[in-house]
Amino acid sequence: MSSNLDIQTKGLSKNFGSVIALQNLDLEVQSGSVFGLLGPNGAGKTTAVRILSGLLKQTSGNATVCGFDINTQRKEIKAATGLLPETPGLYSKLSAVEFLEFIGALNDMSGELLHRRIDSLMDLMGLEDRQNDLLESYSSGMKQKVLVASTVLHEPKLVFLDEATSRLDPSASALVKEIIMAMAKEMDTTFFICTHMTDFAEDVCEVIGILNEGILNTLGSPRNIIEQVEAEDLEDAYLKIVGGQVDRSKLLSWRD
Amino acid sequence: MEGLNLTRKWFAIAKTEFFVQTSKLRRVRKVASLLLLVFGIIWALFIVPNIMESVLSDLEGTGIDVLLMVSFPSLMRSVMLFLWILLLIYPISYALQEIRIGQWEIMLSNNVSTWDMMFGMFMGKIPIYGLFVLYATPVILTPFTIFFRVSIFGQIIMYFTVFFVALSTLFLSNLITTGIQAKLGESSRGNDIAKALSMVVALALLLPMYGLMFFSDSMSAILGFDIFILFPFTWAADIISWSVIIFNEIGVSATLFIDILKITALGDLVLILCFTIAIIIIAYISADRIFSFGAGPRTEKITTIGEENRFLKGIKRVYTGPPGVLMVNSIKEFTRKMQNVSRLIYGVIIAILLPVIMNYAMGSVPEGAPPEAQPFIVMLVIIMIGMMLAMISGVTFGGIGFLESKDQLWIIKSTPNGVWKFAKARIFGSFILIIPMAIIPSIVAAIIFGFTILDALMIIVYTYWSTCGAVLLCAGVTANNPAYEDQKSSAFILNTMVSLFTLLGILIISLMIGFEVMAINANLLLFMLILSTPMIVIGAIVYVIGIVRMSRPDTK
Repeated sequence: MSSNLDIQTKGLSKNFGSVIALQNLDLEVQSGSVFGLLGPNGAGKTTAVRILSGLLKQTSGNATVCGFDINTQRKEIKAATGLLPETPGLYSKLSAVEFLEFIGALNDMSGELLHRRIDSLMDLMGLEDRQNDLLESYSSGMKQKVLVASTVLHEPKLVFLDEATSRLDPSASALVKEIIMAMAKEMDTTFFICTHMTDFAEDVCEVIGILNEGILNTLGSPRNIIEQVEAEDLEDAYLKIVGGQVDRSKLLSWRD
Repeated sequence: MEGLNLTRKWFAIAKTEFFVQTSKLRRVRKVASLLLLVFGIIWALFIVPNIMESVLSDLEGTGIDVLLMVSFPSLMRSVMLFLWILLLIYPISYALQEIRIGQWEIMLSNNVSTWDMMFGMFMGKIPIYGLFVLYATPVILTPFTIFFRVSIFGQIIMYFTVFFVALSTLFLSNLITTGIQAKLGESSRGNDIAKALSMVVALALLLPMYGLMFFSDSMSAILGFDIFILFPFTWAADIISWSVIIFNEIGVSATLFIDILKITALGDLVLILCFTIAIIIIAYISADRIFSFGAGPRTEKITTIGEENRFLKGIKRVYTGPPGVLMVNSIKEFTRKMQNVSRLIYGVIIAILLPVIMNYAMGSVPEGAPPEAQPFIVMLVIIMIGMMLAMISGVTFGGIGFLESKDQLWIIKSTPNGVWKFAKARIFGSFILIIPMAIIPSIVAAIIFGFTILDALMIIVYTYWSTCGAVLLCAGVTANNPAYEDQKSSAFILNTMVSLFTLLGILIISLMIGFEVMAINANLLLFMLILSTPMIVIGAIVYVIGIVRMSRPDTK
């Protein structure tokens, strides 16, 4: 497998009983690039991320992540990657600093370096005034910011972001965008972003894959995809590919 | 009086409440309800009377029949007290496991009156608790109806009284629960406090009841009347007793019981009716106030943490680097949850009460007691304290306190060897927190029974060792079948049952082996080692298996 690829999958599939969540995913993600996986709810995006981050076993197929095999080198994959899960699994009874200390310790970090990083990240996220408050009192956007900080804390080579900005307000979303682009450009960090927010994907991602019902049916740059389906923008292209065009005649029929 | 129109809104709320309570049977809800009802009627009319008939005929001439004849009003009061406490505590405890202010907001925004809400919630609980009463009442009443040959009319009054008291108690518990929930809902920590209260509520009600039972004689002497006649369960019990006296066919006369039944049947009936009407009026008047929770859950209380205390800093000094950070944060996270702390306090209080009650019940060891008496009491107290702490600590540290959510597990699993690091920190953190739990009741027992320092030390070591084993075992069970903090989930119920039965099984087998060894070699230290070590060994094995399974990538 090529050394400048951080993700390479071959026929990756996952079934949950009779439900096919992911079907024959063939994908290559360049090192240092920002890749976006778009798709409706239940398309298989989270399943793909969980398999690639070593949390879920695939039913068939194979993949390498940062050069490590997903079947035999899960520990190495976890050390090289960071994951921001779809739903925040924060400890409600820890403060932001304590939670980041906890995540740092799980990644074998401690001491001065860890605390310096935590302080800098809290400052960057605009949470320095609330950093010692228990997380239970944080808004969902603030929690998301803490999770973003926890994901990049150990400077992973590859970052999986599962719906990273869905709970963020526009300014916080813009901040996350900037962090992603800065890390990709300056630190050569690879980003694998799952989202259904087309405007975010269009702004940030160099390559986009559209997943629907477990099948990757479109792959290319945002411009390329828009041109392929003769759409106005990525949202229009997405709707044309995935479906979901609104039938206006039915909009108010529920009153009948 | 819009609420008293009893529009269909209360019915919709009652139906939803019933659906929530029976969600596990949703596919067979109608059939199961019907079957349970039909079987309940068969149970009440045929099965229980037949069983009781044969049991009572066996008891004839044993002296128990005479006891039943003489003491049935007191017996009836005890039975009704038990039923009353059960119907009061359980619904409160169950409902407090989840604050439902969010659902109330939906109802209020749909223009539902507060009385409809309260009445609907009460009505929704009736089917489940009604079934409980349907199954329990025949067991309680049939021995009396058969023994005293109570006429059908008398039996109808007796059954009606139990159902009426059950309903009024349920209404009272519904009122209390709603009031507490509304109050707690104003805080962002409401859910946490409610879960803590759900544990404490049993203790808060049981302790005064125990006190009442122990000190009723002296209180009655001071007051100049029987203290029990102040309680609604007594009025209900006495109505039943009067029914037996008035409608029996074996010639039992009221004059025999005039010392106990101080109020007439009519007087009891008036009292219980007044009590019920008073609760309903209070509920009706206070409904608006209870449900006006103002800013509601949005009234956030922000808790800012201070500097780490010396104890936590000490742990970090002993365990340097990432393991120390993990252990300290694990301790912080566990101890900041009120439900965890309340459970542990509950366990310690019970463990402290045990030697007190035993001492009260048995009297202190007399001066001239044989030398074997002392070690026997030591053993008994040790075993009971150890078992109590082991079970409560096991379920707390290993059950609800182990992992908060599946999402948390994803985060831990996404780090290299994260589950093992977490498991180590969690278990060693628990072992540290158990230390004061083992010490406090052991010292109390040592003081009460006048044990030597060496005996006290041995008790501490044994209690600590067996509690550690129980925590390992219960945490292992949870790691094998993660239930997180959902105390209503089937996984949680299954884990709790498996944990408790396994703990008891191991303790009983260890105890039997211990006694066998004691018969050969009366060495207390050896006895305690035999009692506690199997738990540690089995617990450690189950825990390791659980962590291995937990750290594996998911397949579904």
